[in-house]
Amino acid sequence: MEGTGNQNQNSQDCFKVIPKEELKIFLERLNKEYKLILPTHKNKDKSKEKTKNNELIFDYVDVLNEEYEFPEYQNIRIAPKKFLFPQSEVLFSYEIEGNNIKIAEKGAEINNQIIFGIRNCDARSFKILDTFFSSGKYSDPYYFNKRNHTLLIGIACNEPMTTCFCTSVNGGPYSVEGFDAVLYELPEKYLFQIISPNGEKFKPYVESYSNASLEDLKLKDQNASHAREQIRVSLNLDNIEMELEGLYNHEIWQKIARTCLKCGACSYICPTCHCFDVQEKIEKTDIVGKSIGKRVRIWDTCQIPLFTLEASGHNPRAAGEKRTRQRIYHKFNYYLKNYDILGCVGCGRCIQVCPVNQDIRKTLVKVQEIAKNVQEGD
Amino acid sequence: MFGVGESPIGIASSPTEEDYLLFTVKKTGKVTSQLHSAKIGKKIGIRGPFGNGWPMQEAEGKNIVIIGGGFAFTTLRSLIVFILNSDNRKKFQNITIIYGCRNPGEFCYKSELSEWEKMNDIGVYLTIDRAHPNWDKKVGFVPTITKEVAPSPQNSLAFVCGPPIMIKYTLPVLRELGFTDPQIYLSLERRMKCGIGKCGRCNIGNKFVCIDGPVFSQAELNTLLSDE
Repeated sequence: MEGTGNQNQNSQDCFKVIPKEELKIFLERLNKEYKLILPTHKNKDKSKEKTKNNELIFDYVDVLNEEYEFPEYQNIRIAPKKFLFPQSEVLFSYEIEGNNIKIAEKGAEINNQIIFGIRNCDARSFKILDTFFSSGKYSDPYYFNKRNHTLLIGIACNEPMTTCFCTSVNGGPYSVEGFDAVLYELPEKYLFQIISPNGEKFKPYVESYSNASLEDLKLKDQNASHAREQIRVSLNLDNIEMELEGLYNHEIWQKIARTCLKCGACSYICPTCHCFDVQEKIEKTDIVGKSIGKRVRIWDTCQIPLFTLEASGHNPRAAGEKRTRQRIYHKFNYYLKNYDILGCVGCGRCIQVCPVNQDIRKTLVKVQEIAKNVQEGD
Repeated sequence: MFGVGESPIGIASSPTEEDYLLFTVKKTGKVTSQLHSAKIGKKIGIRGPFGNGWPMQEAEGKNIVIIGGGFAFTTLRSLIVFILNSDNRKKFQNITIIYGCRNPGEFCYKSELSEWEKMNDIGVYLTIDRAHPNWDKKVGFVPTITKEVAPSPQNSLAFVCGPPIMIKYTLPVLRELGFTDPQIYLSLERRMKCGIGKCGRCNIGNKFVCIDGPVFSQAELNTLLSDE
C-alpha cells in the first residue's frame, strides 16, 4: 500500500465524509481545475436512458455545464484504458508536396484530468501499463504525455461481480494500489481517502468536510469483508510462472484453442492488453499533388493470425493453439520474467465478453492441475 | 515510405562502408513495391537502427562459418564485407561461406560473390536446390552442402541466416559436425511494427526479436519458450 504521508492510515482524520448529495458539488469543484472522466450513460438524451444502447461508459463530462448524477454500477464494461492508450491514435502527421515532406509532431496539449470512479482492477491496470510503457530503452511518450497529467480517484468495490477474480492476482475490491485517492461508499455518504503523494493535490478540496466517525470506519471495514466474500474464485498464482514453464508444448493449448473463435474480443476488452498495429492514413490528396497523411497506431490482437504473418508467408503463430498460448503466457509468464508482475488484474471482462464462454480462471486452474500432475509424475 | 507505411529491413552494408547505407529489398508487399517503383531522388524515411548485430567481439580470433539462404543473405553481406575489410581481416581466422538459393538467378551480390570466390583465404560454396544448365557449382540444399563442406568446429562460430526451414535442418548438421549451441548464432525474422519492443508481435518467449535480437545464440534460444 502506498503511503499517505500520515502516520496512521486508519486514523479518522484520513477519511473525510462527503455526503452523497454533495458529490456533485465536489465534482464541480474538481472540474474547475481538471477535466473529468466519469461513468456516464452513453446516450445523454434522458428519454433514451432505458434503451439497450445506453450502457454506462467512461467519458468526459463537463459537470459545470451538464446535468450529472453519479450512477450505480458494479464495473463499467469498457475499461478506461482508452483515455491513455486510445484505440486509434495519431503518432504524427505529414504533408507531402512533390519530394518535400513536412512532418508535424502531434502537439502536447494535454489538460490535467481525473479518471473518477474506477475500480481497483482498472487502477492496477494503469500500473501495469506504466511499467510496460516505461520499460526498456524507449519509454512511450504518447502514453506518458497523457498519463503524467492524469490522476485516478477510485471507488472501492462493494459488490464484485461473479466474474471477478482480482484477489487471485494480488488485487482486491478494497485494495487501494494504483489510486491517487479513493472513495468508500456507505449509505448516504462517501468516505474520501488520499492514497498517493499525487493525491495530496486533493487535500484543499476535502479539507472542509468532517472526519469520519468510528462507526463509519467500522461500516467501511464490514463492507470490505462483505466484498471479499463475494469473490468466489480464489486461485493461488504464486508459482504460475514455473507452472507454465513446463507446459509450453502440452496438449492443453490445442484443447482450449479448439473451441476458441480467435475473435480477439478478450484482448480488445482487456484493460492491460497493449499490443498495437501501426498504419498509414492518407487523408487528402488535392489536385496540385499535395497530400496530407498520418501515421496512426491502433489496438491490435495476438489472437488473429495476421498479427504475426511475415511478408515471406511464414507465420510463427499460424496455429490457433499458439495464439491461445501466447495470450496466457504473455500475462502469466513473460510478464513475470520481464517485469516481475502479473499482466492480469482479474477484472473478468474477458470472461464476460467471450462468445464461447471461455473462462481464463478455468484455464489457470487446469494449468495448475496439469503442472501438479506432471511434477508428481516425475 | 510516407503514405504507404514502414517495413523492417536489415542493413546490408558494413560499418566500413561509411558513405552510404545499403538495403537489399525484395518486392513483396505494399511498402517494398513502392520502394521498387520509386525514382532516384525519392525521399524516404529511416528509423533505427534497432536491435543487436552479429557478435563481432566474440568472433575475433576465431574461424567464422557463414551460412545463408535466399534473400536472407543481406546482413550476412554486411558481415562478410566487415570481416574482409583490410583493417579487420587479420582479427579473424578462416572464413567459410555457404550460400544457397533456389536457382542461379536468385543470388544477391553476384559480382562480389565472384570476387570472394577468387580469394585464397576464404572458402566460398554456392549452391542451388536443383541442377540447372548454367550452373557448374554445387547442387543441393544448404544443410547437405554444409555437411559436405564440413567446417571444423574447432575455435569456430557459425553465423546462420535464412528461411526457417533451412535453419531447422542446418542446426542438426552443425551439431553433428561438433558445433555446440553457444557456437551457433542465428539471425531471426519476425513481423515487426515498432522496433522498440512495444507493439508486441515479434516475441520469442519473453524476448523481443526487435530489441533483444535479431541475433540470438542457439544456447540462448534453448532457454526461451519457443517453437524454434
